[in-house]
Amino acid sequence: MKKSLPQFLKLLSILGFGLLLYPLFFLSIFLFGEINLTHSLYALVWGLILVFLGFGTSAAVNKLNLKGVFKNLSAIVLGVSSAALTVFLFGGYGFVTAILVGMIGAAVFWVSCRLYYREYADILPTMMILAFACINLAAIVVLYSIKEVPDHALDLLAPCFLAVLFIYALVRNQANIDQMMQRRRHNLEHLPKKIRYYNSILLIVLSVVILLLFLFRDSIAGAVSWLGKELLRLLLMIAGGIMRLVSMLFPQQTFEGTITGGELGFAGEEGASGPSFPVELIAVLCIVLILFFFRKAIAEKIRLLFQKIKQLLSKTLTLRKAEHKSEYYEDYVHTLTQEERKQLQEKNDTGNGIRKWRKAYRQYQKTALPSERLTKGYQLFVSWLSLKGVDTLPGDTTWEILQKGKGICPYVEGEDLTKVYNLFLYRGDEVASEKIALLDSFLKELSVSLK
Amino acid sequence: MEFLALLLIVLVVVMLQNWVFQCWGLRSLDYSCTLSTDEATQYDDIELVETITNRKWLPAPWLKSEITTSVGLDFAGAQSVLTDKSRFVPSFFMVRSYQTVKRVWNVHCAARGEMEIQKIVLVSTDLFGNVTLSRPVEVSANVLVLPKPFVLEEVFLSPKNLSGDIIVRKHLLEDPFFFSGVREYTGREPINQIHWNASVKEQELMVYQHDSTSTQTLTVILNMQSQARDFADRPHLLEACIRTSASVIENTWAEQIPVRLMSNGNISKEALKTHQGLISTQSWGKEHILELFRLLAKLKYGFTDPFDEYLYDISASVTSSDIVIVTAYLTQAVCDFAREKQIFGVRVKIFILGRISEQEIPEDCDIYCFRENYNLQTETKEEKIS
Repeated sequence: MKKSLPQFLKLLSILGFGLLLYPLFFLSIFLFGEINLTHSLYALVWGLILVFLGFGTSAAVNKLNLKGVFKNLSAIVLGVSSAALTVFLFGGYGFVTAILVGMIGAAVFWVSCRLYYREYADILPTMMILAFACINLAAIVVLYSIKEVPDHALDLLAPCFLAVLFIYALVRNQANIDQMMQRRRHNLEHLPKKIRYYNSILLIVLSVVILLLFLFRDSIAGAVSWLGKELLRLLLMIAGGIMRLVSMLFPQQTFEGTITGGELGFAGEEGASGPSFPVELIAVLCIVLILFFFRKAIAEKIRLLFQKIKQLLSKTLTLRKAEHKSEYYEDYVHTLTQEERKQLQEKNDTGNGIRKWRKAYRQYQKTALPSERLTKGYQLFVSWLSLKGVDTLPGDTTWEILQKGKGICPYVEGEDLTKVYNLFLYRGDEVASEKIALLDSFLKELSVSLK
Repeated sequence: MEFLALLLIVLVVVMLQNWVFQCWGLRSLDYSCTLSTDEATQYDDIELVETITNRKWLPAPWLKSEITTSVGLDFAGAQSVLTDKSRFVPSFFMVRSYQTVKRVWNVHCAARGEMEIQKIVLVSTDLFGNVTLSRPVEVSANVLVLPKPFVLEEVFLSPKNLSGDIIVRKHLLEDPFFFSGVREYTGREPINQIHWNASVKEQELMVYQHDSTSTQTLTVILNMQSQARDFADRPHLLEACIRTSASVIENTWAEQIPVRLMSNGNISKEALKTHQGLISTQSWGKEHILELFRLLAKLKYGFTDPFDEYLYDISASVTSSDIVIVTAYLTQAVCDFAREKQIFGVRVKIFILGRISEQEIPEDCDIYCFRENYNLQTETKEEKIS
């Protein structure tokens, strides 16, 4: 790994740390001053400046190789200066606010100074994120409980925290890759670069999903509540129908209570008029069912569409990405075609079939009763044939099954087993222990042939 | 409310991500590891092929296969970690949905022997490291690395071989099917031995001249004891002995001489414990030589009996016309064995791989000494700086 990536991640983490402090500034201004979005933005920018100032001071001290007293003295002097500057800048919001913001400013500066010496993965620990999430919540609660807050005043709170979360996710992802490498003391240089790149892409996709969910939260919440209401209506309608049916069947009995929408939480009008047929819900259910049953076809169409777009965009790009060379190895990347996927699926199905056959074989080995053992043994033989591609039908006789098996696997010797099974099944013959021993060895051969 | 919604969404998405990776992280992921050949010669380069197929939509953003192989398979350079018996190589992948990644490693067969991929473990993780999954993979990839023969002239010198070969009478009876010429009739030969054409030409009775013959066969006796008194193995000496044996065996191919390999070592540790030495069949040809190479490749370090005792035990059973002894050191017993065989007309050559002084070399034995300035690694003669 080049040095630039940890440096970049470190700066990003510092930015995240700066954004995390927003509620503290915002609370200290809003509590004793006017609630205004511009003021909070001003506080946010100043907080970020202090964070980077502290970080930069440490970097400069480190570069100048200052040690001991000089190092601490420079940090103290700059910290006090920045606190004084903060007091001066925020003096217009009142004395208490200025002092409070100044103290926070100095603390931020010194903490940022210390953060410079940390690894990028340790700048934003999980506990810090959780703690600041709680501070965010506490800030909202405190503000709402003390003052009347206009709607737009808290607009920056969630986006700031969202940005911090994205930064945290990215840093955590990259740190996780480092940790997985360092856990076994692997050299980071041996990690293919595309892994980091691809992880970042996946993370961006995940972040976009979160962002979309966040942006459309009202619509999603509305849809969920609508779906809940419709389901409730459907339930009510079913209950009403059942009651009507019962009253028709037993006309002499009278039901004192009736279920209304109002009892289940619906407001008067709907409850009074009774549940109407939920057309929308049925339509949505139909769409969901169609999507579910034709999911593979739809997914395939979408994939083909994407593939065509990709081909149109650049053919050479795909080819260039397909091969990766290292000092020690060469990679050949190939995206599976539809046919290859089918083949692999079939192979996998066969693999599952073999596993199931082995499991049944182990159960057979545990069976003590000879008649039961024979039945299970014959079933194993038939399933073995189907694994080998013999297509048996429910109407096939035992000899027909054997003949079909011989057609595909001529070496199979199932005559004895078929004979014994026929005698047991159709004449009720007792199964001798010698026959079972014969069956055991026969099935063992079949088991070996599946390896 | 916005903030609470955000927290809830993030929590749900992260939990969903964890659950998805926990359930499907290593599912529908096929992994195989093969070697390009099952037989190679020492110092050959072969390929180790890893193939990963992802049969699902969920990609594997970070996947590692930890390959444990025999030390003799040299690959991945600084990326590998070595112990005395194994080599650990981590291999990092990123596999997208429905994608196959084939990774070809260049493997150098650094040592002879039965090399294998001992174990492979697949390790995967999610995007944030909340879920770490691992799965052992069954592999059965082996390669038998055959010893590489020396060029004997370059590696050995024979300080006592200045006078050339001497003719010895090996058998009392002549070979009736071997005609070396005609000679005068002495009166003791049977009538069917008269050469009538020559008799007419010479105007006197001439008879067939027969000579004694023997079929040339070779027995290579390999000593797997590296030191005369100390029983500790010295692998570099034993390896040199094995390569020398391979060279001697290979040289028989040109003249199709039947050859047999005998050794106080064996191809299994159990056989070593039960004092069973190695005795191959005697035959000739490429296939047989290859079989002997395979035996040499499989030889384990250690010996059944001390070499002196071993020679004493097998002395009667060695009946070939030529014997080559390959050993790391020379003892009196080895010289006595050679002398005893030479009395019966058997040619005995002794290849010594260890250090030996001029005084230790007996006059009456055909001894080949290892050149001290020969570098086994580079296979070149190094100039001595005096």
